[in-house]
Amino acid sequence: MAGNDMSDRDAEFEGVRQVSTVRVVLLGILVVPPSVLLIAPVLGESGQAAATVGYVLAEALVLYVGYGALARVSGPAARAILVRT
Amino acid sequence: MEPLGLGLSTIGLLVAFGLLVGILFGFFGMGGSFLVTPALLVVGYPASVAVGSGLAFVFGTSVIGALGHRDHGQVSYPLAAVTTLGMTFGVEVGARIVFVLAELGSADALVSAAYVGLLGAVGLFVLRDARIDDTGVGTGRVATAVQAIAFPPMLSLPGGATVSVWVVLVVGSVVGVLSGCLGVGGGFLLLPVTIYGFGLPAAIAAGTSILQITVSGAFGTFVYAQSNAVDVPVVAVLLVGSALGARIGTSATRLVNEGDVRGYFAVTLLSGSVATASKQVSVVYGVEMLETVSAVLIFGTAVLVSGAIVRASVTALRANRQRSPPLNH
Repeated sequence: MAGNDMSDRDAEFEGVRQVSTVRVVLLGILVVPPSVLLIAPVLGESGQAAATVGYVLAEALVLYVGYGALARVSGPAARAILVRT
Repeated sequence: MEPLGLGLSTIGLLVAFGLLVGILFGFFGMGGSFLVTPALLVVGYPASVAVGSGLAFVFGTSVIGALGHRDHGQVSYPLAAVTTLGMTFGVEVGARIVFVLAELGSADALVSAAYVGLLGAVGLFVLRDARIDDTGVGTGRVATAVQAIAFPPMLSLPGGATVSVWVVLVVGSVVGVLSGCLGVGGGFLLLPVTIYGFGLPAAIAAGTSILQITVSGAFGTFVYAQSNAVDVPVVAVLLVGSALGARIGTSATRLVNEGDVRGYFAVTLLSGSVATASKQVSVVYGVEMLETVSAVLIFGTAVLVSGAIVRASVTALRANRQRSPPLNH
């Protein structure tokens, strides 16, 4: 029984971590690209470079959330292939 | 119709190549820049753009990898911070070396030559590793020797070991120079150093090195983008494929024994080395056929080896399903 309680708590803790990661990622998507777009023209060459970094970062965050969601909604066979260990 | 300024067939090919690279390196636990930068060199990009785009690709893949590791809480933040300091310095130095070489007109030849050597050496190492399993031999001695260097300040690591901040800075700088010169993340050096040199547990070492690569990759992307040497559309399209491929590759590690296909991976790296060499020979001596050979080698082996991983995964999934038929309710 105690073992079951522990594993339930572990699973709950893992769930909370996952939710907080998704929240951080979504917040990043909302904050990073507009900030970069606003600051880039002011900084000239460095601004363009910062925009490139921001663009790659935003795309990576979108892909992380997007493929994660795809893995969650896909069928069992596809999920076995798409879910990270 | 040319979204992102690329033809649809080019986009398709880049997504497919990204997918293959993602499967390969997701399975073997590396970032993928090992093949992306040589592939860009093979298709004719100047060395500075190939390296800059390679670093941007590394940055994107490592952000996704770092988020995955963050879910499992496997990062040593103090070690990551100090190593990153050394790496950003090294990346700046490496990038300046490439731009100086580009001005002298020898960047393409020297970066290609470095890749021929690096891919060849790592490929041979992986091949040797696949044939004889001697992990752990002498690694304890290396960790003891590194930890015996006690120049203060010292850094406490998870697992109880301590290591001099200066040692970490030197390691970070060396990896950073390599990263800035070749557009690689440097995980192939960071991982063994943190595990065998600093004595960090493997899971924490993997999470920590991916975070370090994320920050140094961002800095490298910034440095190269300042000189307009990052092809953003190409990186964007490659990332779409590789992010999906990395998921497939990572989950395949549960289904396929890495030892069974490690030899194939060595062949992929070695053929990347031969492809880069034959591309340079074709440029110098004007042999067009060698250009075709280099493209076929680098893309063909990526298709064959990632295909072998996917095939083995599907076979293992089918076998698992036959062994445990679904319950009837």
